Amino acid sequence: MSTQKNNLDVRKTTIDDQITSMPMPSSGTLLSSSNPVEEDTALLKETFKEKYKWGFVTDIEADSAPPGLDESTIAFISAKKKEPQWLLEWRLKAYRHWLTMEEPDWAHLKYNKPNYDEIIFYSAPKSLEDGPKSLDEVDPALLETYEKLGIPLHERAALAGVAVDAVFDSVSVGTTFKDKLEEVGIIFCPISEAVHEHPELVKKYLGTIVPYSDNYYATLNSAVFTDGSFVYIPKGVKCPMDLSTYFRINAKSTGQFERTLIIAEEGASVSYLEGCTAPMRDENQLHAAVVELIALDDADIKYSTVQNWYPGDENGVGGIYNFVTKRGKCQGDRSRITWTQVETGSAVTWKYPSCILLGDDSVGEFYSVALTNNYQQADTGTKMIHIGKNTRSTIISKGISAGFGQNIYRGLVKIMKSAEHARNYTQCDSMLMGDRCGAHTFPYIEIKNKTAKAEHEASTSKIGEDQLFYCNSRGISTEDSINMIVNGFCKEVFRELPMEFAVEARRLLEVSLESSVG
Amino acid sequence: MNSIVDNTIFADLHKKEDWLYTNVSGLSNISFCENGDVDPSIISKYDIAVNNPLVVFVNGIYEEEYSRLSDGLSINDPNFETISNRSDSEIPVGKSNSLSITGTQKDTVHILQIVSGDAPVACFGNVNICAQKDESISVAETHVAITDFDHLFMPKTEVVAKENSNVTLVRAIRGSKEAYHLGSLHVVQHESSKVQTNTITLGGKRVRNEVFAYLDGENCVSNFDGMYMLGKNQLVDNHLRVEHNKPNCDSREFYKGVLDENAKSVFTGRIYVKEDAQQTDAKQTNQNILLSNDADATSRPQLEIYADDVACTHGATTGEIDDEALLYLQTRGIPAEAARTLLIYAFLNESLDELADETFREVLVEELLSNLPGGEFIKALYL
Repeated sequence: MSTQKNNLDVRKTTIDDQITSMPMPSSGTLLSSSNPVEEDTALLKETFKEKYKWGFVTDIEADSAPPGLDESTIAFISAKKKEPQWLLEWRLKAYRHWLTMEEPDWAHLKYNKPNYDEIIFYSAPKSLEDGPKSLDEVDPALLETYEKLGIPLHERAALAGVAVDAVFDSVSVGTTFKDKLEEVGIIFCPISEAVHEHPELVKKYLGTIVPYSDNYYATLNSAVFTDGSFVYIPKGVKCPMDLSTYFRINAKSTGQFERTLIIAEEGASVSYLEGCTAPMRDENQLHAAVVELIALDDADIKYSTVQNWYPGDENGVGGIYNFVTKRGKCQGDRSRITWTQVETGSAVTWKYPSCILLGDDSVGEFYSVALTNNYQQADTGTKMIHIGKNTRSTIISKGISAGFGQNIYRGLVKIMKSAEHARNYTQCDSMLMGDRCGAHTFPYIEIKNKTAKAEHEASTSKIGEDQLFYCNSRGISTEDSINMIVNGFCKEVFRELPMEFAVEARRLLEVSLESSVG
Repeated sequence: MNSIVDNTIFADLHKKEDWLYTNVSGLSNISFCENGDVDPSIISKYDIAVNNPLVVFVNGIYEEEYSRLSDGLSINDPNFETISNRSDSEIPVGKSNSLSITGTQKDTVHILQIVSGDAPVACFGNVNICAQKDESISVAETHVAITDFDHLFMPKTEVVAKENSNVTLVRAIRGSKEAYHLGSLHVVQHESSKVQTNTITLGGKRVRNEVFAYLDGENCVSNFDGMYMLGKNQLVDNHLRVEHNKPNCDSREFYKGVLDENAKSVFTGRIYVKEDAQQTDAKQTNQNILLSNDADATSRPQLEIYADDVACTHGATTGEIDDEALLYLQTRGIPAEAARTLLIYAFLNESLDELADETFREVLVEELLSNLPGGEFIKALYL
């Protein structure tokens, strides 16, 4: 336990150091200035240039596919993974369908579309070719990267109480806690491993929630996905610990195509955490992941994400394109799926974690904090599709825009004819910091049942001068006041996050928002 | 391709995000004609205010015989100020006789646009309203398709409200439930002007009411309201874009409707707040009551905000008639059917109450109640 505490302390120190090294305004800035808004805007501009603090590159020789995509690339990936024939065929079917599709442009986003001929679709750290039998065999350079990221591997993992299936580029390098999880019958492994060891489960569920033909990016993912996590919780089992995966994008021009599949059998429950950091890059990198969740009767899946990929520099150069398809199906009665996300990274985000509420009395929840700074753009939200009777959904979305950032909430609430007495509650709040950013709300509410009740509330606000003045006059610095107000704004989402994630998320926002004034 | 209108564009329109829920591809297969006659008795039926100015168009052609022009009204005025096209409306624009209105109009100007023919007719409508500084104009438009064919009517109305002017406009779609109405309303407001519009949809099979409003001066007040009551096979798509280009303007979009049988309503409202349009106060509301399990209501209340000191709210509610309210009325001796109608009427009347023109309001209430079971009971109470 003590090691975990130390680990957290180390990370806290790093952040504290950064905070103190930032130019801090005196607490009297607002009082002494004749034009506080102007002064603070200048301050904002000056100090918003928080550098990406996890921008480092580990030097590992990658074993990559040639750039571009054709059927031979897919065959190459499939052969690398020693995949069965059915999976290769499924990939090829997806690829052929992808060729007929057009890249969507309905999102409220402006960016240069990726050049798919330049992307390397497969890259694996070479030292893994022989397959490490234990963590000792893992490339020390990799372990060093994890060190920097603060991932608790080795015994630290055990003490931290988190099982880590760390994905580095595209191949999983180490899985801990497997034994402990196996005792209760839980399967938690890389999806490439699951294809070999549990083909019946993968075959039964893969592509059932997000079909290979679903959308442009999901179809691309179906064709070229390299790895990801597979979780199976058997009937009646409550997963004894939070499961966690860290994603990293590493080798140059490598798109990351993860595929995650989580199945919770009757009465099972699991909490899954996904956290992301990526090294600094100049050109845009594409990330098109697919996550599928299936909850059977009385099952409960909680999926939490903290996404902090490289957002590009202060001029909007570089950064990750994050085009993700996440969808969960509450197949069983009384099942529940909760998506919680804290999105602070990526240059462009296109992400709508969704719930299909098929089982009667099933529940879908979506809690989101999205922050866009500099030239970041995020078009994110959720879809709640009510099919079963008495299904309920809750959407809480908090968008924060600063600098030239554009933050878009786009959410669908669809109540089908069969969804008697369905309920939805949606609340989307936006906060603007500065007068050159944007906050947009695009809800879609489709009601086909007269007993349904859908409520939608939205608000747009800024950090008021009066709020800052109040805090300043009580000796709280402008920095701290903003952090306090932003944390208050996001509280409803943060309290849905598991403890450690909540701490991390709160700090992430603080670092990203230093010296911002509305 | 049709000689009157290029109807091939309708085939794939619903693939666009702005037309996602409104499929008018049926129009691309219809061969339209231009001409048709109308029975004079029909015109007198819709001539509800005999002491007010009246302008009648039949299939886009001005009917001098039935019209009563007042000062400030002119037909086919080539020099009249129009709005250069700023919207991205997909509705085709075409030739028809046009009406221009300017100068303070003490009495509401009634415009009757009739579409009629023994085969599907396609035609346009053009009404241009320009209120100069300090002027005040009130207009009531009635759009009616007479015969039960797949008529296509594309009425376009423009409103320019100069400094400190006041424009009130009602547009009501009545008549046949077989026609297509693809209408657009373009509004430009200057400093301290006030515009109130009300779009009422009772007729038509596929009705699209587009509103594009540009608040180009400070301190504008804009109310864009709408009401609809639809039954079998009817669809209404209210599509609005309100652009706040200057600070200190207030706008409101308030649309409510009742859907019976397999009626469908689509509401898309976009409030756009430009950079530096600070102190904007914008509200957007869409409320629906579904009377049947086949009815379908879709709302897209959208906000696009680039200024940080604004108050923008949007809301949407959809539900059925409150059982408790129904029980309350029944316990007081009002029959169930009439109680239901009373509640629907109360819900919709909120929009009608604000109509500036009393005669027009009475006619609409009458039509509304005639379409509802138990309406006679309410009429006896109120009218």
